[in-house]
Amino acid sequence: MKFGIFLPNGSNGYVISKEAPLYPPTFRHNLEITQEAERLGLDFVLSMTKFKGFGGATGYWNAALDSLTLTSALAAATSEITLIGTAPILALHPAIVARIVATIDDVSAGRCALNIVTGWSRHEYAQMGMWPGGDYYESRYDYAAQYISILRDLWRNGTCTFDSQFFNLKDCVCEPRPEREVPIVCAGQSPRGMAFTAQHGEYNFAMAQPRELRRIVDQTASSAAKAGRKVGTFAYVILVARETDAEAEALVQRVADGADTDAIGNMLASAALDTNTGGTSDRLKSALTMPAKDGHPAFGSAPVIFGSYRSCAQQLDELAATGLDGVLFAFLDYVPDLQAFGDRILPLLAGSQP
Amino acid sequence: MDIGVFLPIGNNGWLISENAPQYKPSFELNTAIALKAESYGFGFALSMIKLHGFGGKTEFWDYNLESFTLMAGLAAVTTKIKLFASTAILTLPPALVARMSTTIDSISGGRFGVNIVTGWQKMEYEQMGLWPGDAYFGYRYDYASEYVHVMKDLWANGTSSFKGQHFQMEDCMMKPAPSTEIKIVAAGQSPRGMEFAATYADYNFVNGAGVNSPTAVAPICKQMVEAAAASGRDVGCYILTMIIADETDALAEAKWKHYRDGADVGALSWMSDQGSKDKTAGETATAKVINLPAGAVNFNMGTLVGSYAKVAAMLDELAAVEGVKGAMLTFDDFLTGLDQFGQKIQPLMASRAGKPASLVA
Repeated sequence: MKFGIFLPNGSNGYVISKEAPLYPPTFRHNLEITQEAERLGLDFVLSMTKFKGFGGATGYWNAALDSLTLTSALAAATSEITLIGTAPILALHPAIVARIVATIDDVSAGRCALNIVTGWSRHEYAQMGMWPGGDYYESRYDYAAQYISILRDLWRNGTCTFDSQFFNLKDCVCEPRPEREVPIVCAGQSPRGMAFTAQHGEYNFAMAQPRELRRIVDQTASSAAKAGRKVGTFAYVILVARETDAEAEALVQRVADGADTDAIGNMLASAALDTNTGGTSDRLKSALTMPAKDGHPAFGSAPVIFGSYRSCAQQLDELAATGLDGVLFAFLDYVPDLQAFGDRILPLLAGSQP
Repeated sequence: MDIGVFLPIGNNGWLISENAPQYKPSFELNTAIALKAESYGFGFALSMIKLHGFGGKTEFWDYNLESFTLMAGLAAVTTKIKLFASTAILTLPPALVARMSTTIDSISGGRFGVNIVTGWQKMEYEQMGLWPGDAYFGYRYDYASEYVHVMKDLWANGTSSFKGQHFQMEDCMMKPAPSTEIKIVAAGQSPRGMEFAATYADYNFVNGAGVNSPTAVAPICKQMVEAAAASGRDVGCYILTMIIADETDALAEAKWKHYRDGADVGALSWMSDQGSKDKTAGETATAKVINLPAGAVNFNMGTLVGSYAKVAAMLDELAAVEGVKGAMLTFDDFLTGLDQFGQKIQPLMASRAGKPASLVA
């Protein structure tokens, strides 16, 4: 299994609670995490794109660093780890993103990948006058498919001509090109989103309860196979590991009890605009009553793996048995939690090298 | 006088010649250049944005990296030099550029600024379906003004509800705030361009004029001084200058002649054709000037050719021109040229007294 870190490039990372560490995003913090991940031999880091926060007492995501420039700088300061930047496809033209990624590919000497976000939060784009209208919730996967097709054309051939309702490129050029196929990552949770990734991406990031993962892994792989493709599934989890099960459980409970309900409410209101059933927005709504291991809103509805170091190692081994290709981790307190992951959990995993 | 380097983010830098050094742009090369410039006490490094090259035998500028991600990478490997990225404002929304800038501010520890590119080469935008029509030539500085207004709102207040002709913000948010003011760079050569620079920019880049005529920029700098006086802001002129230096005048002159003899006619005719599309361009506009026949091989950039002593003396002359705050340098060969400048030319310049001479082995 591959392991990666979901970089906290938005304020407070991925936990929406008054009882979690509160901090603004900085390059220094993200660099420290990335270098530690590289030192531990982890496989990748991923940063998100976010244009509008959800406020509340914790000011959740009110500040966010830009993903692509952050990724380029992290590439310059590392030598082995893979770096995944996120492109907001409504806000950046594919020919520009093609050149940006070619640049990061050069900076990183071939260590980058691109995460595509179609955008489910109307507020993020409407605030900039860039929301295309309500039917975008329905048309966004067509938009994204065309977007990726343009990217790949430019990367493979250095030129692209493409005429559609969304894009109009005529002998558009982009050199230098990456020297290899740049992997494309998506995070489709709805059936439509998963089908999209199976057809167009190389990796799918799934935010799902552990018991659902095997189905997602199989479904993604089989729909990819139908298209003659190979697509891997990565699970996103928040890891809370401490010396004892009791200590970890108490911490998780404290964070859940401290949920920033105003910020969560704002997030849910935003998600409620999404008409795509079974998608990210539906999950957020249903998560209010969930236990932490299945995804509590204080943890952004992501599944939480918690317990003693030994227990966490066992749970990760169980995850691996679903056929996952890897796990994307977020933490409460990134640097010490990541160090503990490396020192205390990694050596316990099945298949780990002594 | 402040000195900066115009990074070769496009292939072959600024010489459109088969006889000039032929190289692709890379992070490795630009890192080496930025580190050398930093070690010689350069104040800044700036990269342009170019989305369509000129072709020809040398495939001139057909290879270009993206400016913000290049500068973000350089910010992580440098420590002192100020860094400027260029935004082609027809392609990047201002709220995104504001966020990219605050990100590079965080990476660099407050060493970042933005160069505003309104665009003179229509093909760059037409190829991707982003050209708003030729009327844009007439209102591009109005567009740029609104663009910068939005960014300044976001940097200063973390929010913008600006409603303009071209941009409509609705309680738009952007944090974190930069650690220090993000400087704005313009390159206005026309009266309207200078008015824009005087109103919004902190530095205005001006094309140097002619070969070995460093004071020829005096009239255009005077216009900038007047425009800045009218707006009541401090906006210095930075003169874009190519250095071709060697041990003797004869050796340097021979190199310059060699480059001109090898002019890539195919690439130059493309550039000329593109430059003629802006019917509103005045005689001093970029699109016109770079295509004047005498020095089209290097965009008619002001060029200083000669021995180290001669170039040093001419740079001191340039420093004395009213309104000139700095020079942004290009070289025929950047790595060699930077060492020549840092070790042989700069030590002879009165206007650079006290700058390090040989930190780079």
